Amino acid sequence: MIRKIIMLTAAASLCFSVTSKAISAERTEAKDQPQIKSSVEISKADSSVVSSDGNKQDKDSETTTLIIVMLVILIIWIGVSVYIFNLDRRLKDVEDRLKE
Amino acid sequence: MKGARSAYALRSLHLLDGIKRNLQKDFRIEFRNRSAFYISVIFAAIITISISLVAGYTPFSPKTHSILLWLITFFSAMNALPHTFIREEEEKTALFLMLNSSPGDIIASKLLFNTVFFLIIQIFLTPLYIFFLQIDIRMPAEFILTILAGGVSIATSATLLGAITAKSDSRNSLFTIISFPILLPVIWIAITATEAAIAGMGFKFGHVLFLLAFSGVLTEMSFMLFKHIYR
Amino acid sequence: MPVSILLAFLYAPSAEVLGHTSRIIYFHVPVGWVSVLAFMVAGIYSILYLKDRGRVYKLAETKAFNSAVIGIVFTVLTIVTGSIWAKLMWGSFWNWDPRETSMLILLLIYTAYFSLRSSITDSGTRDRVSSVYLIFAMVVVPFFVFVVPRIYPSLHPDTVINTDRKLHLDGDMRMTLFTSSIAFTMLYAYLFIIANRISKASKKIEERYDS
Repeated sequence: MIRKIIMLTAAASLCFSVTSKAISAERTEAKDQPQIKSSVEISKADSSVVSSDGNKQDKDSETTTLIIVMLVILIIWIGVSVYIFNLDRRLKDVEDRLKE
Repeated sequence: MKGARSAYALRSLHLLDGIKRNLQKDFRIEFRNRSAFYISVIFAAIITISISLVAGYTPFSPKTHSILLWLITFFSAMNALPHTFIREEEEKTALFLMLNSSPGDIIASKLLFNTVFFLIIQIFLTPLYIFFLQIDIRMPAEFILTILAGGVSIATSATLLGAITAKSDSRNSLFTIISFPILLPVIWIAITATEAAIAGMGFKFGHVLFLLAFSGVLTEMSFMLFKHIYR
Repeated sequence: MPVSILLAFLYAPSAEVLGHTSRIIYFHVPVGWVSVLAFMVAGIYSILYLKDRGRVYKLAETKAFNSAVIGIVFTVLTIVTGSIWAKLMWGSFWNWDPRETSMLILLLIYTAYFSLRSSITDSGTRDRVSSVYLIFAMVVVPFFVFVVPRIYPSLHPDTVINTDRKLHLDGDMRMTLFTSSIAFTMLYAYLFIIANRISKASKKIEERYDS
């Protein structure tokens, strides 16, 4: 039982670390890009404010979608782990009956 | 070779005799005690009258009419069709039936009985609906064909499911639960075909063919699987 | 499984229109595939049980039941994850799309199977009757899962088996999807084997008590 909990926690943490790495990669890209785009924004004075806000909103929404994707994977893992715990409980019953 | 052919002919005659005997018995019982028939028809009438009363003069689209008609048909079938086997279990005649007839005889006679019985119910149900809800049917022949094909499909599918339900402890509610997923393709296709017939959108021959083919497949499955239920 | 997660997030590109939400495909599709696979395996074991009656394939009916349990878990997960994706993509949780409907029908069949099984007390009758129902339902499932989504217009993207006989996916995405599908199939096989071993052990204990 403890081994199963450790395995599930390891799998979940791997999943979270991968997604947080993806999210942080998106954020560093967001930090980099305005420096390139800002030179463009200086020349296009009218649209500069709108475009920088637009970029920030895009990156925020992308982060949100990644979080939602992570949530979907979490739901799948929770469902599978509920079934595994159920199996584990049945196995424990069988072991108890064997001891009797 | 001649011996094999005569043995086959003899077996066929026995099967036909058995089917005829069981059919006569079922029709006789149903004629004496018409409770299942009355319950289904009155149930359908109550729902049709309620819809007509509530709707008033509101015109329904052909799609709405076909959906309502098939819903009423479906729930009438849920009342009418399982009772052939459930009655055998409740009146403790199932064991006698198993000893007296082969599984092939029993399922063939029950299939035929259910089909005829449900078609009779539909003959009462459909005109009642048309009368109370004032449907203007553009293609009447195609409409009748679709209704009959759908009825045959529902009756043949529900026979084996009735046999399954009769073996369980909670019979009445379980039949609807186990039938709905199996009958959903029938209802779906029948609604589309009926809508086309009411609106005059052209005869959906493929849909009617599907309904008959579906009933054929499930009849074959019923013959193959029935011996495992009634042993 | 960790490999498929890594591939899904770091290797596969996000789709053109769908963006990062397309990464759900690498989990939602394999989970849906496993729910149908579990049903087919349950049906096959039911056929073996009725044909064999426990002479060669012992515990066939129990294995069918175990497969059905895993199948219903995965079906619920498919519907839940699909609904979340549908809300993101199509604006509502439920759209009566043919594929969504087919998964719902599968869930109804599983639920009906478990209701039927629990309503019969005698074990011999229960095993036979529930196997018959599962085989009967097998006639309907291919129609809904394989035929209807290819006939009626669907919000879901092109299917794997289509008229072009080609997968309409980029190479990276295709590889990630296959890796993920294999990972989930192996997970199903693992869960199935464990459940069967538990059932076998329980049966042995019961036989020991009876004797």
